[in-house]
Amino acid sequence: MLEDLKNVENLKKYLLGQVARETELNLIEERLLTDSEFSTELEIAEGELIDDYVDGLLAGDDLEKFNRLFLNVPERRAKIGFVRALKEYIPTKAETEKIKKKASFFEGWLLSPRLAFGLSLIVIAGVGLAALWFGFRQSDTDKSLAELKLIYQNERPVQARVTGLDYAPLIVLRGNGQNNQSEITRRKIEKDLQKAVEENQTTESYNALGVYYLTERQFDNAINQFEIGLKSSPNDAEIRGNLGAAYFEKAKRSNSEEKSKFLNNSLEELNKALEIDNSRLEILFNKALVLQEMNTTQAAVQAWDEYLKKDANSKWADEAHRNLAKLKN
Amino acid sequence: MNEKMTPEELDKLLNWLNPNRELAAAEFIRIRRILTNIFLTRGCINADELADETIDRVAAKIKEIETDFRGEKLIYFVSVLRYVYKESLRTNQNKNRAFGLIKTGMEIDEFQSHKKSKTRRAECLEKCLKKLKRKHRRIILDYYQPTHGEEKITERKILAKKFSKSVNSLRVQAFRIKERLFECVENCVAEAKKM
Repeated sequence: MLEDLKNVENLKKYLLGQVARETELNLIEERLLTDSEFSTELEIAEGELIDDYVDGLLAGDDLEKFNRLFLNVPERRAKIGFVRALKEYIPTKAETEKIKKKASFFEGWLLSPRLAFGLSLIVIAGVGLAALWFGFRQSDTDKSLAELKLIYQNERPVQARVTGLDYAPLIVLRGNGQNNQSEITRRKIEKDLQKAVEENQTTESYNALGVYYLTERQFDNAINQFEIGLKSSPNDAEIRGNLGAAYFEKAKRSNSEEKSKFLNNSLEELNKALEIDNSRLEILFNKALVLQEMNTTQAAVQAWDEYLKKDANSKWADEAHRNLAKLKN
Repeated sequence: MNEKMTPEELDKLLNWLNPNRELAAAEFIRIRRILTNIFLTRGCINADELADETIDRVAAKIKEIETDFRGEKLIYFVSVLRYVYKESLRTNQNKNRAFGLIKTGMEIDEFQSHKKSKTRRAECLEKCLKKLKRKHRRIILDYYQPTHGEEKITERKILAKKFSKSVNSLRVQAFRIKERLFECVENCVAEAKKM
């Protein structure tokens, strides 16, 4: 019955007060408090119910219950205004098509050869300048992270999963084992990311520079960047998860007294990140690593199982299986 | 009605929930929100008050139960909630459950379509969308395309593929981004009202 309850239509019925059986209500209420995934599902269903109302999809008893019961919370009423504004802001596909058609009409008008030639020159110059501007300003961070990803496509520099880097086996050599060319590229990436931080000071730029330091095993610098980024976006699961990863790596290289302190810091940040977004695989993976390093075998086994429920077939999952096997032996 | 909880009881309650104060505070807020929603779904007019009453009673009991308590702490809240709910029915506090509780949907529409507040919200939305990460902005704008029925299901499958995610994980992520966006818009509207 509980799995049926997770079905979004049944959750909507619950929210509209249409679940009458006391035993069923009790089960839902207990699960709401004890199962965070279930309560997230209910919150999503709540959002979808609001979407249905705004789209005019509710009728009859559903609409009456929605008006009289569901909307008896100021926050939910405010969300209706918000969803309306969002839907008005997003152009529909049909409108996008219209815009495209208008553009092609404009192209037709330009068929006068002289006018077309003159205007083409202006357009080309404008587009060129815009491309230069965008190429230089907009995607510095993304470009740098893409370059970093290329450097570590065959071997990863730290045991933790780092956002944006694909799977690669862990480097076991001392140092980074990189050649001179990659040394030059890495310095360039560092400069670009530092520049992006100076110019933009956004969560995204602090996070990117933190990721860079993490791959360089400069953990204090990485922690510093992630913490600055978190000040303006404390609910950003990605940067909080990366902070947890940096503490984990720092812990592994610390003496036993400091190690437990940093492992605790790491676990705390990862748990907070999962409270914000429990679907992020890299955070679930890193949490299992931390619990394993803490020698809390049962909790680590549970964390790996939890991870494998969400990612059963990737190369990260293979590594999770290997870790799990080690713990069980 | 029970006495309001004392600072010592609050302290004990938080400690019982989690020894880490920050996590305990987050858990406290989560529990209160869920209790309020439960009362609301059961048709209670004063859901907020009843949720507080439930928490107050749990806090008052902790001294007695903390040493011998076995089992799921959170279930204890639900047990207390049921007593509070039954009491509220007896005292007729919720006699007219679910009827005449709030303004009708039409009144809400009128209120929200007020031109000034609509413009303010739209401006705030634009500002807040700009604050999102580019990828998140793309997800929210694509995910909430106004499509319906089969078309919506197909669109979301295509979208999930585009962002290399499963349909459900994209759904959860879009929801989280939307929640953050809502919070940002609400704060922005509140700030704009002050000016």
